[in-house]
Amino acid sequence: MNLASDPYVWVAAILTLCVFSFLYKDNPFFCFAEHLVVGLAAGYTFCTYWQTIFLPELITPLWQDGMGSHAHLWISVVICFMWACKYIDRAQDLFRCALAFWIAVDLGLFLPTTMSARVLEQIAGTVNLRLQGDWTVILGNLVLFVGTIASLTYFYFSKAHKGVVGAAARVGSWTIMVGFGATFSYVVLSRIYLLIGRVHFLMRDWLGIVE
Amino acid sequence: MVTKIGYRLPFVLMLVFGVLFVVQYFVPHPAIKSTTDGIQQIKQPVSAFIIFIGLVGLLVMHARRVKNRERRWGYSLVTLTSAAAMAVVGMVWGVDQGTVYADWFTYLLSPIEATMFSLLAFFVASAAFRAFRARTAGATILLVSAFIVMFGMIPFFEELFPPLSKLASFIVSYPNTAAKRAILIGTSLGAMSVAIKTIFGIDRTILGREQ
Amino acid sequence: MKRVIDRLIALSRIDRRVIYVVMLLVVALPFVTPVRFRAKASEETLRFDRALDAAIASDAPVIVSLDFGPQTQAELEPIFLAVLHKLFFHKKKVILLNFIVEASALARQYLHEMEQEYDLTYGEDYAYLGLATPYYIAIYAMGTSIEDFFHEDDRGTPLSEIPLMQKVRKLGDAAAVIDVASPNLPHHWVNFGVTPYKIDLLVGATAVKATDYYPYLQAEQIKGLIAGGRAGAELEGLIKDQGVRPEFGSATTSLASQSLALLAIIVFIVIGNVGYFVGRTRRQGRGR
Repeated sequence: MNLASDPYVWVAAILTLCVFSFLYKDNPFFCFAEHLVVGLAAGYTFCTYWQTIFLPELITPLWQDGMGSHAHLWISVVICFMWACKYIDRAQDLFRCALAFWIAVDLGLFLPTTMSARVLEQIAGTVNLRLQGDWTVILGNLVLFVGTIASLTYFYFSKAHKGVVGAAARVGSWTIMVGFGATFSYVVLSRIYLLIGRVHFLMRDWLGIVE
Repeated sequence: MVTKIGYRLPFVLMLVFGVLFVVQYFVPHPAIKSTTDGIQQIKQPVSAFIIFIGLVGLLVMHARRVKNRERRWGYSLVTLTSAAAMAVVGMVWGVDQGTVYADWFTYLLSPIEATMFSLLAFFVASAAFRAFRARTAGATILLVSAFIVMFGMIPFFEELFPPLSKLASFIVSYPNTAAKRAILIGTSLGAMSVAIKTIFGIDRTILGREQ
Repeated sequence: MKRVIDRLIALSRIDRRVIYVVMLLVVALPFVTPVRFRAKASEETLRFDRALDAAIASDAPVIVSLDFGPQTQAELEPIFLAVLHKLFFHKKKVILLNFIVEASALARQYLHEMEQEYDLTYGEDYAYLGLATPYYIAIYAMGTSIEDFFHEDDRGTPLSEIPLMQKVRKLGDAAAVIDVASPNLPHHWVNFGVTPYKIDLLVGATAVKATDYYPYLQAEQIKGLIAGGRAGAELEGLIKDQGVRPEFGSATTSLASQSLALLAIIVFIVIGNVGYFVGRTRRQGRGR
């Protein structure tokens, strides 16, 4: 056992234990850590956005070029002001205009790319079956083709799930369950890794039990 | 307060900018491209400003708690103090590697955040123990699939029984892909229909009601 | 028999804190034992490695997007470091950026370590563009011009003064984009990067998110996928075999803990189910 001598490591270990104490029950140590992290994250976020985006992309160019700055910088200032109107009751119209502009740009970008990436390309991936090579690949591709169509049928509610549609929907629900089973095990694995990370920190960096 | 013009103008903006960004995807005309490029540059500093608005909202809420001496106001003081301290440290001494800011990130912020997430490992284990039951055919399929994938990820079983790992890989690569693809196509079509309705002002809930 | 059934039912009702203690033990104990495992590379990991090799073989630099914070650092750090070690070992030029605010501090930390280990020169061997926001706009805008969107790197140097950035004016100029991400960033890379600009995208993701990306992998919108910490261990094994690193990384050393914890959860689920069915059978028997 080789206890850490760095006070920072001790602070990190104590904070880790404060959070773990929640497993027993809610307590003041956990609440302290909880509120501390909110504050630190707020300060960190402000600082990073200020120093890496707001200052170099808006304030500094405006300061350097003054009134001769590029038009988009002035428009940015106006839109920032409109966003700030969220807290002014009499200026809600301006805030809603800024919000509409913001959402419109997002949706306009989202529509064509999503249609292509998440619908057309996915359909292409399903129908372009490669039925050659290893038998597991051929079987897999057939499962993929049938499973995708069956799963889509399961989500299709404009026709009653009876007869052929009902059978397809049932196969679809089984496929989805198999998929969810795989997802569940991956979720478990992922969470375990996060715990391993903390335990490893305590045992290696703080207590010095492991190399 | 929302006026009549103030109510309608955002929908006009939504239509204009929404359609503009859809069009620019298909028509790469220099005039359209330069307009949309300018708008993209506007969004960068404004997005930082929106984060600031959110942070101000958070800090105002905690400041009010402290001012009114509400229940657990001491924790709010922790949040306010830590936010101010982190911001000052970052603004005064910089954010580069080796600064106090970087140390606070590594030894104060990181351990709490990482440990908070690692708690999920305990909760997943507890939830799996209490709620993961083979009550129905669907749940049994999910359970079997999860078991196969979990066993397939354990190196010991991988060596002992190689087909298990192949089966796990098969499940993730094919039935899981089919299920996830159906969900992806379905959610994307749904999201696109909402986007179209929002851009054309058919769905107006996003910007609130007329007063 | 009745006693065994009673015990099974009692076992299925144990306090949650017992489960927590067991979980803590199964994760901690393997670290103090000499038991070590090695992960056999899956087809997905081999595919990722081949795509990485193809990017290294190209003359163009690689763009790496670091999109995780401390929350998922334990799972994604081994993947990110394995990728970075392989790239710098092969003297590949790397342009780093991030879309997650917390990744900025991590990026500076990792690059500082890499700079010392591989004796790198900033601006020539690597560049760090810093935080980009909002991510969908940033990805889409970088497709036409990186400089028009970023203007400056993380250190405040104009991109026009960075030699490395003269080789990569837009996303398409890079050999590949590698995104190691915990949130939905790969979805957005596919939407706003791969679809309009046909870039080669490689993804390292948390296991939670990884199963969502298999449709993209199958449709070849993603060229390679590292699915969580276990696949990270597989990648570590590959780069060790290739002589990039002298020893395994933290994902591999965690394999024993991971295996034991998975086994514990399987046992929990079995106990829970046995208790449930035994209890149900008994209740039905009483009902009759």
